[in-house]
Amino acid sequence: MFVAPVRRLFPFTSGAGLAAASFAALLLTGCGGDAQEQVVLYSSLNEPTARPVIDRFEEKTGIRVIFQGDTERDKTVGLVQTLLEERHRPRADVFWNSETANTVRLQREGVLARLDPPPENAALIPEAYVDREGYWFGFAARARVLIVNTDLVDEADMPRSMWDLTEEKWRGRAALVRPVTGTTLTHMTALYELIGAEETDRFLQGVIDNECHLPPGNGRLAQLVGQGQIHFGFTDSSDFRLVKNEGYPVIAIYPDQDSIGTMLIPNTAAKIRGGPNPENARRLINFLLSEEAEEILAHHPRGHIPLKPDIDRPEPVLVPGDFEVMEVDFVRVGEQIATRLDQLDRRFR
Amino acid sequence: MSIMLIMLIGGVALLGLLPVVIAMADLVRRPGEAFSALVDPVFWPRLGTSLLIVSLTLAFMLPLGLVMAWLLVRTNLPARRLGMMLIPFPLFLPPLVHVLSWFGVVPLSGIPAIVLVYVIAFTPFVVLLSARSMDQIGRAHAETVQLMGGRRAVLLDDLRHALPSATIGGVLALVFMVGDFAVADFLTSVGPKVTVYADTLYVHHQARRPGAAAATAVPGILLCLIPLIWALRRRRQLGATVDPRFEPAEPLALGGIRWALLLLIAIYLLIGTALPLISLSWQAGSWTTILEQARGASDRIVFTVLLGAAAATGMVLLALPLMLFAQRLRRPWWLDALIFLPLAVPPLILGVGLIRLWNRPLLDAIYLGPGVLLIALIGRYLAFAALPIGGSIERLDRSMLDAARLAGAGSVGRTAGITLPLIAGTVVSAWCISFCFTLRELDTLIMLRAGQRTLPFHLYSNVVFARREEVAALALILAGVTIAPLLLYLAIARRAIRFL
Repeated sequence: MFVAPVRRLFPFTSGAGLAAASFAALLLTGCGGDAQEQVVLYSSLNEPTARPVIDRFEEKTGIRVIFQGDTERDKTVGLVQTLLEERHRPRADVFWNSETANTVRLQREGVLARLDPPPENAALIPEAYVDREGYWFGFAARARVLIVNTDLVDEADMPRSMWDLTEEKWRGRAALVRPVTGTTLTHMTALYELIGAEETDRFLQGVIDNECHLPPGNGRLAQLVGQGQIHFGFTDSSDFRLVKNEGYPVIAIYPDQDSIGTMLIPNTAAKIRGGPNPENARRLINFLLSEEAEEILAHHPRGHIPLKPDIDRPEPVLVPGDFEVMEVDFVRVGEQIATRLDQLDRRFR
Repeated sequence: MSIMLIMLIGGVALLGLLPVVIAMADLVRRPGEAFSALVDPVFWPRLGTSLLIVSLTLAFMLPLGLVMAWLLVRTNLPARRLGMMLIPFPLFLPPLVHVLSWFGVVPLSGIPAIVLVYVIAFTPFVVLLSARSMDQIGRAHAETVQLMGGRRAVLLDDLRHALPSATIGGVLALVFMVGDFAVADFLTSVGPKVTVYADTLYVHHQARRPGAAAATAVPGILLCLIPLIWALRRRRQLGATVDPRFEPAEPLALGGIRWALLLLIAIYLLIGTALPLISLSWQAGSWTTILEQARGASDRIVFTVLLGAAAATGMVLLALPLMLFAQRLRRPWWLDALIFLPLAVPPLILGVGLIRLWNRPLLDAIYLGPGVLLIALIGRYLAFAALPIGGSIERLDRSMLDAARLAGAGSVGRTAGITLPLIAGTVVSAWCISFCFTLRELDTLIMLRAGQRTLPFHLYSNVVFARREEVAALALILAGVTIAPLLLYLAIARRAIRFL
């Protein structure tokens, strides 16, 4: 009797209306304000790796970190695309990248803000790992190592150089990640800068001619070497550590110690231009560059390499000085990476 | 066209079409880049490789799916009801879960392995859709055909009848295959590398060439949409409405061979469902690991289930009136295209469109919360609700609706009193299917902040980095959550889901 007038007043009492009201409520979930201070962090690292550092920062400052991470499968493409698309209305404050090239590219696209003056914790970072203009700062690096299965390779035959991938005796037994993403792309682009196009092309053609395997990522490559499906290959020291921790018979060789040295690729922290929490962004970046953050990352199972001197670290984690480091101009590498990406994509078609 | 229909189509356009149009506008904005991408000599061979993989998959999948559907629907195969209930399960395990679960054990690689994974993962599309067509074959028709040409003629006639539906199934599989690079990349980790069409899209995104990315997406979209629209049109031409006096055809007696044929279905289910689940359980090691992972991811599980349920509900609520109104359209192909387009578009492009559309002042509540995820999921997967609901409505006996109209029942009364009760089972099926597919989505959601709270994101952010048993446990949990509504439906309804 009175249902009809009630329904006129509250249209959502009908089935469809109720569904529509519930749907609208779901759409608007997250609408509520949050009085707590916060900072929005976009990171190419996966959350389990970044989490201990974030937890410590939150504990120390009381600032809540909203984390947007990445998966190995996506290889940072989605995250960088999001940052570029959000450029006109930025939603992130800080970009923590696990390498340098995409950071430099974002800087060139106008996505990053200059930190002037630089964060105080940037003072002890070696010059090579800091942007001269103050747009990004390196910390906690990874080395590009050769992971070798010790059950398959004798001590006397251990590969010592990147050129071993092109040696006839390793035909069909070595591996390099298809160099169109991540640290492998950065590594190959750096080679173009350091040893020149002719030599790098010769190396890459050697890799192809020698029937090297081309796994989709460094983590997968390290697993395949650990499982004995491949004898050795280039990977990141962090991926080597994970496989080593699982008990596989592997060792890491820091290649080319008598020539160009081993490439070291730092994590980078950068502030997003026009981000919603600029002050907290500076505080988070300053923390990421601190001795404490480098120590946490060095003790992480992935064993990041501290760039600052005298950081406490577990024994297997080597630091610059324990091995020869390749000299790399990361800005130049970042500038060249799109061109090299096309060349490498064509070469490894 | 009624105002209601305009509003519904407007809703579909806002959810699915608008983000696509906004992202694809890069084609016009950067025509030079787009043209260069299409004449790039690297692009076409990769498209060719993808076409080869798709063709080989379809060459195996269509006959296998049609034969399985025929055995399960039109013959006296033992336990065929149970078989039909179990057949969708491989579909709801993402291809990468199939890969992770048993390719570590079986040393297969290269194109044969890629084709094998796709055949295993996507054949249920063909079986489910073909089975629904074969369900509609009447006794009188079947007896006449048998009288005229014997058992062979019956088989050929049944297959001819189901072919358009099987094609739709094949095209749905094609949508997922064309946009995927992960399976090929993973399965050619060792041995010769296979690069596919989706790799080129990825490189253009990475090199920040949006015009090129949009241009290279176009052939893939056309490849999916054109056969799909053809198959839907053909199915409408063939699909007779169900006569109230309809009597299903008698199952054909297979004789002694039926046990051998049952083995075919059993082997498929073993490879497609049992083995992956057993392999994942074995890799997870113990219940403790699974429970620990479930406890650790409990927030994400709840969030993912609620999101999937809300998205599936939204899809069904939108698809139902849309498909009712679609019956009035003389040429519904454009509506098919509108609904299926977001599914055919590469997920990164859809993600770009969603950011451009929703990252605006006053829309923070939607953009930063689960709202934009709901929009993404409903827009992308609406087809999975529209397809079964539309199919069921098309088959309704018009004479009943006409009689109700003559008796004075309005459109709401006819829908509530006749249509809905008759298609209720299909609506529930559509909800289950939609729910399952939302739980497979990763690539679009990864670009949106709230997408980080989903279980698929958690799983894939742990692949490689976490211990093997933890990843296996998470994959098992995701599989369990995905198929839970389907199991519930089967337990209550005690019949197979309806896909068309």
